[in-house]
Amino acid sequence: MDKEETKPLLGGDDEEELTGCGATLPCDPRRWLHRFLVLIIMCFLSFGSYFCYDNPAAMQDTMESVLHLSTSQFMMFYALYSWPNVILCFFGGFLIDRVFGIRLGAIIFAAFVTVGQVIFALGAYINSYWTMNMGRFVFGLGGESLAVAQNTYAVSWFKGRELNMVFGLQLSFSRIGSTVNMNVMQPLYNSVQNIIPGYQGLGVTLFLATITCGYSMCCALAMAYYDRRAARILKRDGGKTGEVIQLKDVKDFPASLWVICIICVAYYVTVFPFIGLGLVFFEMKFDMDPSEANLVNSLVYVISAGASPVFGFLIDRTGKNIFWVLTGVTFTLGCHAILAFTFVNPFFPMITMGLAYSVLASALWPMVALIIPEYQLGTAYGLMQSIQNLGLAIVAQVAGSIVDAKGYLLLEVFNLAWLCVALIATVLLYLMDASKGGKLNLAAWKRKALAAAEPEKKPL
Amino acid sequence: MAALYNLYVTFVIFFVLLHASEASRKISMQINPGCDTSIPHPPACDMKNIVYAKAEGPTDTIHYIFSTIGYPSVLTVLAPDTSGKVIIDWNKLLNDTTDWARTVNFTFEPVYSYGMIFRRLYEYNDHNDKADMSAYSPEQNDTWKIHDLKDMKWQPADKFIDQRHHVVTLQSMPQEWMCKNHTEVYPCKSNQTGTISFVWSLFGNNGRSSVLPHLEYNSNITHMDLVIDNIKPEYSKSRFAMEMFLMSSDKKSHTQSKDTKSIDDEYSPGVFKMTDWSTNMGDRPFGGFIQWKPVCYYKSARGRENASKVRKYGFVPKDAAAMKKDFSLQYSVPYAFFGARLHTLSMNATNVSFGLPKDKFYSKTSYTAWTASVGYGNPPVDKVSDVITIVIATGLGIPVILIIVGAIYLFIKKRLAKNKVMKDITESYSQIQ
Repeated sequence: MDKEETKPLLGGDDEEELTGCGATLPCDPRRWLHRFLVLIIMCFLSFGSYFCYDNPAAMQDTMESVLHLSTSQFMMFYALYSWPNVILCFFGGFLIDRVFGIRLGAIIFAAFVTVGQVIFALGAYINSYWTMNMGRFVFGLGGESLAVAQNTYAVSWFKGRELNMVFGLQLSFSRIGSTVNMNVMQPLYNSVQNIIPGYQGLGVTLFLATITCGYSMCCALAMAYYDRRAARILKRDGGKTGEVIQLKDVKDFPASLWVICIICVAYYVTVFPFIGLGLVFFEMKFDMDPSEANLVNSLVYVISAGASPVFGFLIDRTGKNIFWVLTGVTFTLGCHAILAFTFVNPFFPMITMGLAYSVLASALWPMVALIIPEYQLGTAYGLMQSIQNLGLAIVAQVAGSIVDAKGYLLLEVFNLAWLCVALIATVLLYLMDASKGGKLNLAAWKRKALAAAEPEKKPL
Repeated sequence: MAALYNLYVTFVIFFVLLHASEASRKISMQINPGCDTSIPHPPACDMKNIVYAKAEGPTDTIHYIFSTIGYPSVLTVLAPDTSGKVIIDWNKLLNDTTDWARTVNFTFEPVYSYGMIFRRLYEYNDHNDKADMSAYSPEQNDTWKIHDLKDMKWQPADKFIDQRHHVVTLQSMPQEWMCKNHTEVYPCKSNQTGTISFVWSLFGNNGRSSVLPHLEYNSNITHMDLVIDNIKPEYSKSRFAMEMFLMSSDKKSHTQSKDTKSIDDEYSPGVFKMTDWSTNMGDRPFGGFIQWKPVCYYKSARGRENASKVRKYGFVPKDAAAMKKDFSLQYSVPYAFFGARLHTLSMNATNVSFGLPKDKFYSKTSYTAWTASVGYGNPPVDKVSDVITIVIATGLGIPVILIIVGAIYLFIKKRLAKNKVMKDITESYSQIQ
């Protein structure tokens, strides 16, 4: 019998034949192992960006003394990243959807990150504060948009499968990147100091940090290759409707997306600015010494690094994302209430807050993929991230002013009010979703059953 | 008969003390009362500071003496009426070699008196950066420098007195800081420009200080600001601490300290504690006290970002036997008032030190400022203000109400929908039949 007669009658006659090592388990995009190997590359895509983002924080005292900066000049390094990104990551997402596509977009943004960090290091090497600022600005042009690209990749590869766990894992890597940075940069600088002292040594240290960005760049190139290959083999483009996003489509985004954005902002502003101000709070209210206070303050990050993928996996198995979001918000509400109104040892509320944050992050972001079609996804994530950055930038300032004027109790009340807003928004989301058929809060088995039923509806 | 009289006197005293509270007072301040500068005393009394203040209330008067003669000190005396004044024997007081007992007297019989003496400013080398001076033994090498405050010379008080706001600053002269053999003329050329200051503020009514940490005050309270400014530290890791004594005319009492913790830090952001050190619990329900929040500031523009911690140490009771051996306190105005009785008073001593681990020590800004309330009566208690209560009630109350209303609405809607379905079913049954 020759090949012609063994071919199945209906469809399948243009399946690509994989040959050589392309046919083995790890390289076959239809099989799970390849997806997870590519997942590792995907997670490292923004590792360099998260590592270098917090370089200033890891070396604040050094930078302030070696470069003769005041604290407000130092804070400019962070302001130049967050404020432009209030608008930029929305456009970054739009560019990914409309102009560059995900592969080229990721490469471009990774390039911005690398170039920005190089300029930042150069600025330190020649002791030029404004060059460093420019470097941070260029770095910011790429950083947040790269995260949008990473989210879009994740949905593309893992939708309908382990999406929650993947988002959790990406969160993990961001925290790990930041923690490694905190622990490595200062000792690295101290060793470099022995050979090259002063601000030149600082510049060299920051150049060495650029290696992580270079690695992310390689990951972006690798992702482009694997994604193109997988798209070809799995015939992803065959399912595409040929639609392209227009800027005016944004106003047609479903209301649920806006509510998800509100939940995102209202929740995140109670976590990150609080950690930024938390050190003194733990030292003074609970009589902790600085190293203990530092430990408690970093608990949210440390725990989320480990717990996010685990909770993500759990949410994949159970579904019911809105219920998980509700749980995360409620538990964080309880934690802030305990920190505000009692003297209970802050270890317990902070550990709980870390767990609640992991739950929320793993459950919230994948919901966007359930309500937005793929060709608009980059823009949707860009929008969500823009709003989040705006909220964080504003609330960070407001939180600082509240504490300086009226103390930590009022700050905690402020946080509790935001969490109540998040709670109300979550309930609103549930109602809106329930009235439309309950797509977002399906149990996982139901979701799989619906997905399996769909292909049968296609015409033969 | 004598017993009845004693009872009457006790009642009057109790009545006066009960009403010596939060009344509005008229304040007047005077420097070196009764010292005639035309008569040449050796040394002249314009080199010594006695700031005498009267706070006249409707039924009684509080007399304060803030002084830097000998050790910096404050003496507070309660008078049962408004007519009293102080009489100072300047000849004896200005002579360092005579016994100063009973050189400060009043024209009335004091109802109650209490005082504080600030004896030593400790400078210690914080080797392990824990901001805890009890970690170092007194004999340890290369660790201690003791500044005995009676060795200092002070600026004349009229240079820094603000009669309108009832504030006086007693500031040390910088040149004398490092000198060992000082004389009245200042040949000692030291490049030391640092000063230590006691800033005393009096109030005629109730209120809250406009300066952090926003301590509350009333007409029975004076606020003390201790400022250690620009002192050249002896060691690379120098920190400072102040030794102070609190004494009162209570016969049977002993001083006690109380720390209160609060969840509310609206008046002093980042500070949740208050320490009260009071002389009460003797034969009356309240007495003299010093109250402070365990916060000091390392910049004169005070704010949360330049706040540091104040640590207090154990209280050492000074009983009569110990006091008899320690003559140093006789160089002070409280001794000038109490005389030999000083050794029988209830008296305690303690130290407070300034700084937080990892804050780069005193030399980071070469400035430390600490505020305390010294007063009579019950130490003020911070309460959650109305503003905060309203904010909490609305900020959390409104969302909770919304959630409850929303839940009730949903429940009712579901019931109605269910009832409608049941109604439809029963109607269709009835049609069949």
